[in-house]
Amino acid sequence: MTAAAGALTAPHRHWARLPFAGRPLAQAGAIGAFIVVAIAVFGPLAAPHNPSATSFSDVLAPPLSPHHLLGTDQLGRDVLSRLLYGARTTLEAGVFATLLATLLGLPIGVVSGYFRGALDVVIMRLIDVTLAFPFLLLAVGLAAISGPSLWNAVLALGVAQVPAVARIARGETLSVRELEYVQAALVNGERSIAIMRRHVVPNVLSPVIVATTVAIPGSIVGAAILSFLGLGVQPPTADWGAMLAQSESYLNQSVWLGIIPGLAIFIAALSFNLLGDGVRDALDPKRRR
Amino acid sequence: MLWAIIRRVAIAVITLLLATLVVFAAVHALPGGPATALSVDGTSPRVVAATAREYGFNRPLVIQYGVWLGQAVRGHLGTSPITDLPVSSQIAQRIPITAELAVLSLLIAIVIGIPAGVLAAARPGGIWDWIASVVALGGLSIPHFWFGILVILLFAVHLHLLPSGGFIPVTQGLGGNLEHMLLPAVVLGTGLAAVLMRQTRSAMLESLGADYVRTARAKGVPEWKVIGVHALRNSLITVVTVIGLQLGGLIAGIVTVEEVFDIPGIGQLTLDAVYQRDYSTLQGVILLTAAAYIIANLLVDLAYAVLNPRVRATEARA
Repeated sequence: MTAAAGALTAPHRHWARLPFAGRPLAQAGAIGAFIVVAIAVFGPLAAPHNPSATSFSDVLAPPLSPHHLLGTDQLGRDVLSRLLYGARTTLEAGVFATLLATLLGLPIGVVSGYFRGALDVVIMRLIDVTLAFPFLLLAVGLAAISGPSLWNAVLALGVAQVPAVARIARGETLSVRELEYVQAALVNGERSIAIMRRHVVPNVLSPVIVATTVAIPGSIVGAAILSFLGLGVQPPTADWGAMLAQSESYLNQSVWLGIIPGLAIFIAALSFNLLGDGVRDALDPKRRR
Repeated sequence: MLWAIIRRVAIAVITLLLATLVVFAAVHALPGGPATALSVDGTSPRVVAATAREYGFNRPLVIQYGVWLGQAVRGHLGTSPITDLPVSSQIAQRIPITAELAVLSLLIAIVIGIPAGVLAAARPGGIWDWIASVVALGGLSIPHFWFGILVILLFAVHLHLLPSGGFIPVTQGLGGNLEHMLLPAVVLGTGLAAVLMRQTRSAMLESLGADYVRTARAKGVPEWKVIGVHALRNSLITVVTVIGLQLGGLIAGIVTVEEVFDIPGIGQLTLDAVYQRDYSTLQGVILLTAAAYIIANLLVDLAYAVLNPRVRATEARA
């Protein structure tokens, strides 16, 4: 049912006002993302065991074992507890990376678009250079300089996304700065900093937010990749990517160790992808059908 | 047109120079300073002093950069302290392996992604559109390394059909080579295919709504020709750009897939260098990858200008 037809036939029905009404995939994504976030926030409270507690009498137990719903790993640690704690690490890395990209990219793009001219050219060229270092290379470089860690992974993922955010912010700023209220503020003698903060940033924020929502699943998978490769979270911290990396040597004995954490990453990324698609479709009039 | 090409090449060269500057700065930020980090034996003061002389690390920074860049351009990337082999020969050994993996995956991605996108766009909202879109979204969300583990579990551990990893050079038999490359290339290629499918679909939908397509239909051009020739040709311009944008992701994918399937390519060389703190090799690999990335993007840019008459026209006016 199209939005217009829905408005004509059922203007007062409550379900019609639910977010993403008539978009079941986006709704499924929103629910999935909500559950993943809830697990990241409250999961550690629900964990039945200490995620780092080893038990060598109880290694590689299959799922549905007594006391261990999802089994145990090669050190006898409870997989369910590690999964619940790992949600926080994995999600934190993904969300902080996207946040970092926004905090760096937004001001860079706004300043570049607002002042234009030589400054703009220099900034955009530097942005192009950043693009020549995909996040994996940045992570490799940072790991070489100061050792692998969660925060180096976040830094690499975040910096790698700065160009995308900066370009969007710059493009929007270029058009916003020509609008009457910005020109009026200029004539009024307001300082550039004040104009950018009060008039430009609020107006370029929404496309930037859409872009970052769409980028979150990429960051989550990116964080998982880095910890899988040993460039992110270090053992014994529970993390979905690291759990998969450790499972590789035990796949012959325990298939589940290779499946469960990957399924968790997959569900989280899929939910955020569906949600991101929904947000973009809802806010972009060109895509509205 | 010529000017546009010269301009693009000049920009690429500047970007490349700035990228080397970043790597140079990173080398200086290494623990113990550049001479210690790049020495074959970082614990011996004599070796460190010799390295410092060779690279001119005791001279002013500008000259240091010049000397270092000169060495790098001539392929003198130092010697690995771990293997005692020149970094350049190590890299040269592994490039064909990674290149084979990259080309095979791109082929798989194009063969699956573009037809699937066309099929989905032919009847938007239809059953094929739905299936292709859901599969593609799944493909986007599934991390390469987990997909890799899953296919190893199925085809190697469970069915014993294909090897779980490793590599056999083509010189020792094409069959064995492809047998080892098949799973990794499929894992990498299907991920890319998902991206290509989504982009082909939306570009096709846009083309199919254009006036020239309506005209073609009105004058009675058969539907397969409208879709396969008129609309697709125009959509491919967008698809080429998307392949360019995916190169960064492809690099990350190659490294993870090489790690999962134990393929001795550039990715594995990079990771081993990080684990073993082999800074000479690391510096070489990062320079190589950044250069490859910039050059590939330049080629995509040029292909785009050649393919798209509108870009050619604007460049001519500008």
